[in-house]
Amino acid sequence: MTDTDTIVKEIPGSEYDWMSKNYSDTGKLFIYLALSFGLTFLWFFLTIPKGKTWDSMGIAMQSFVSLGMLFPFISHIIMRWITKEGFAMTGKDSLMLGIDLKQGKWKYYILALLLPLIYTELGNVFTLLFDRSVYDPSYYESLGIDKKTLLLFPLNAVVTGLIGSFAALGEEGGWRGYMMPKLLKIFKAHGRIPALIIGGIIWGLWHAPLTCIGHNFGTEYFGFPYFGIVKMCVCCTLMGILLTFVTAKTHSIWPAAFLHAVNNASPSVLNGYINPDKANTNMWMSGTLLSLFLTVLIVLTIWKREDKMLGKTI
Amino acid sequence: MAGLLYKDFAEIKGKKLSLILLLLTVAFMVLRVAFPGSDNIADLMIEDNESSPVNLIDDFFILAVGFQMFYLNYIINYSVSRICTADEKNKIRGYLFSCPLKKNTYIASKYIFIGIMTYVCFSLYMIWSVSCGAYILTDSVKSIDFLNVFNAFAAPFFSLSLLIAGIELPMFLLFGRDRAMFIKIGFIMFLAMLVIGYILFGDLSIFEKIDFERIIAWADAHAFELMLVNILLPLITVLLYYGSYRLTVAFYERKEREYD
Repeated sequence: MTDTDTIVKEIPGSEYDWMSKNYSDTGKLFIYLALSFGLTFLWFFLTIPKGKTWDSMGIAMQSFVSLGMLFPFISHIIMRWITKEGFAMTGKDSLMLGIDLKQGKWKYYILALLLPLIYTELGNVFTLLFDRSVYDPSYYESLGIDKKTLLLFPLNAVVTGLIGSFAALGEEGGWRGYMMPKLLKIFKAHGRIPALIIGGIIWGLWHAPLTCIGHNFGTEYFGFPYFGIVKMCVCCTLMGILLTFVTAKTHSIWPAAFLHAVNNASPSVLNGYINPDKANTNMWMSGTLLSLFLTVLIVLTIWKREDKMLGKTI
Repeated sequence: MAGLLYKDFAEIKGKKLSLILLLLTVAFMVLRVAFPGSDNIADLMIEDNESSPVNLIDDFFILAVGFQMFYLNYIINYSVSRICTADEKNKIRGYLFSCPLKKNTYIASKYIFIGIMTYVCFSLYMIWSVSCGAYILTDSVKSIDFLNVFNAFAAPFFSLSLLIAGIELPMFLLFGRDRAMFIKIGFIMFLAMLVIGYILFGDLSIFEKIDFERIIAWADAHAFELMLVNILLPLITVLLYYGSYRLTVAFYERKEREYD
């Protein structure tokens, strides 16, 4: 490298200095989304066996494909390196990796662990009310588990969710750790609802390759896979509201990671009594979706009330 | 607190260690995808007692996962002594206590640092295990069972590492480096002597009677009890670890008062 090169490199804004360019929040968000979607879709393309559906690839391969959940956080780290936003663990514009239980924040950690238990079980109750035919009193036996073990499922989901939360942390580190703060900043003038909806749709679309191979809703439904992608966007918007709520209240991505991990572990006793093979084909008659919707309504009401008390606007 | 944690991270050469572990993990994943169990290389295919196929490539990768589990636990154990002895050597504690810092913040930082390390190491182990398991030859029941044995022991093994850290940390913080190392090495030597003594004079025939298939059948029949242990073990470990922290703080404060 010549002396001239060294001098040019040090001039801010020069062609050599693209990494320290002042990106706008929208610019940062678009680069982040390109990175996150690009890396994850590449991972799915490389790892999903050709011609296989989600159910036919086996649990071991499903877990391996699910490691794609780590890419939103990896993209977040790369973004901070590109835009020189720094790697602060806590505080404003940080990675939000700190854990602070003071000033009543511990409540949100407990809430993050218990909320999935409540809405999943409630959702299964709704499912049974919608469609009695799915009730199968001995279904758990076909899963190779006894009644006593089935009763431990919710507790097991909480513990395994806590200790094996790294995959969920991978997603939350990106979506709640980087995307949502940027969206909330961009839509500051319009309140947080548009940001939450757009964030949910983006997150739902990120799942599209998995939805196309039958993850979550299978392949036997009307409008496959397009209606599945739409439903995933709806589910992600609702889930995203809960996850953003606990993140905003604690300024940490950990409770969101715990909530996400416990949610993915399907913590419900009634799962042992609901035979999905007997379910009707109308994917929108979902008890879980209804219970999630009700939970989100309650959370939004609480959020709005707390904001009013603090003098903020929703 | 963040500063104290970063100091410990620098003390164990965290950036270098993270880079090595990351490169190892990526290399392992690439190799596993490049050499799946479904590769039918005649010289590496054998049959077990029940005529099921076993691909030795699978067993090689499973052994690597097992080795990784021990290596990660070694890193946790090494970090405990490293972060305590370096502070003593560099007279960090004297300097820190001249700052407006609570004594329990310093001790908490040590416990939190090892807690984070255990979480990260366990997560890395899970990534290795998942990568290995995805490409095992589908018909190879023995290889799948082999990996499942490691997976079944992983959580108790990492819990044990955390418990050992819960014993070692107070030793290093309360007794100092020399005495703690003396006790630690003395205890390890005592255990080694017991093992050597058993190998020389004990009844080794009991190892011949160990039947892994019976153990797996027993595990299948006691799913409830095993799940209960799997749930309670991490909870009990964290409670004991927290208890160790509270005790260390109590003794440390008493020690400091006596010193004053």
